[in-house]
Amino acid sequence: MTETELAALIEKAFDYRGDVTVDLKDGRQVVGYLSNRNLQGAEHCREPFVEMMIAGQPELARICCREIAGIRLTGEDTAAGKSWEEWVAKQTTKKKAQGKA
Amino acid sequence: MSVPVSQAFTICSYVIRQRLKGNKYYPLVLMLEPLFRCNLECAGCGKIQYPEHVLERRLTPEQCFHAAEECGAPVISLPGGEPLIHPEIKEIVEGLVARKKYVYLCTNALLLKRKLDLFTPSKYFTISVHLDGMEEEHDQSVCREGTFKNAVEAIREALKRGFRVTTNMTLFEGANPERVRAFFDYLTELGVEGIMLSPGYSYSHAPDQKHFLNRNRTHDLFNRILANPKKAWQFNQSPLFLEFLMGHRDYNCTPWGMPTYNIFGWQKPCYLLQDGYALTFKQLIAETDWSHYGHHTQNPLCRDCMVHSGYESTAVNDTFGSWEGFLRTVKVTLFGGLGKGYRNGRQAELAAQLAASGHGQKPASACGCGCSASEQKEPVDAGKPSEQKERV
Repeated sequence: MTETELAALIEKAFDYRGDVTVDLKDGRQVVGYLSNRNLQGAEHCREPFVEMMIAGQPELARICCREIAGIRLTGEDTAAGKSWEEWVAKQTTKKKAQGKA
Repeated sequence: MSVPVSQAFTICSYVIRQRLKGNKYYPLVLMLEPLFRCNLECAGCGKIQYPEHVLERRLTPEQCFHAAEECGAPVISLPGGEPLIHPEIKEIVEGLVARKKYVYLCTNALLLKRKLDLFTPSKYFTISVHLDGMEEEHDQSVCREGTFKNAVEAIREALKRGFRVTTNMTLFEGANPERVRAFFDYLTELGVEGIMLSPGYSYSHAPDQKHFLNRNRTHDLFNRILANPKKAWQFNQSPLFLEFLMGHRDYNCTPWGMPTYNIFGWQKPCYLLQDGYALTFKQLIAETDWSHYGHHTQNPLCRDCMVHSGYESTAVNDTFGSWEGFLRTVKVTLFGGLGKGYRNGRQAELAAQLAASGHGQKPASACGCGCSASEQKEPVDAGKPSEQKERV
């Protein structure tokens, strides 16, 4: 995977509202919510990294981008199916059902 | 403006101190989100869409105090999620008040009546209840019936017990200016200390993308609502910000003025956009490329945003940074006249923009005759808010 491809993948995972699985080059997998990414590096960490919130772990896990082999969007997308239109449709159905009862 | 004198003095002296120090990037209000979990699922909100293990997390009181001390803002807003769900909200509020911070607890009020006993009335503590309009509009906005009644009941109880109570309102596409004005009358009668207003803004994670306002329509809507405001209406925000919403003043965004801290860290660059997180407030200021944000930068994400979290601190800076801004604030605060006296400047430009854009009528105040914007209303059906939204 090229650096550009990896950057695009990280961006997609960062925007995703569900858990992701990060496949590391050494074969390990990390599952959690990708809450932050810094592809330029920061003052406290010169190397590009991602940060993940992992269930049951109090601290954010930081992973260097060079260790990442791939990222998959594996958790439920918590933003899916929650549009305004869907809410209105649901309300209409509910009201109709109440009217019949 | 309905802020108590002591609070106005604290903010004024803080801003003057920062300016004397030559500090450009100073915060006015810390948006401290102690959790994302909420007991409502509003269609306009993208703050709650996270996996369960993220929603379960909360900032500890110590993390909250550390964030408050680290950034030094004199005012702290506690939104969320719903802060009253936080099991240590009492400790958080008490600790911040003990540090002499002006705390605004932003709540949907579903739990307020039951949890009022946790708190003690104080000039440092304000309960800011989310109300987006009268019963029909509000319940539709928060996607749950009965919420308005519940909130009003809680407001009455809080006022009875001597708490400072304000309301905060987000206005979306399709809002009916007449209904909003009637809502202000209702809140005034209810006895709240002040009303906070902000236009809804289509930030990337909000599921209801369709009903947010663009810039010209924001000007148009706020002109219709705020032209000839009643003297009794009290707004808990800068009059210059309100005039900015009406299109009479042009400001750029100062996102560092209301920084956000939550379980992920210090949010870059602002309350609404999520472009990553910094470990410390110092890093947030140093590492964020601020020149990339604000509507003057042509950043498409910022093009239509006029939200208070980006622009109210600019308005406050204007008050204390220019004689014109200071005198205007004093004049409007003491004598009223919000939006008046601009007819040869920004209003004419606004009227031309609105005419060119082909939507909305010329704002009444743009004609210069002082007639009420509310008299030039669009033929909207107040009884069908969802259809109003659909129609746009």
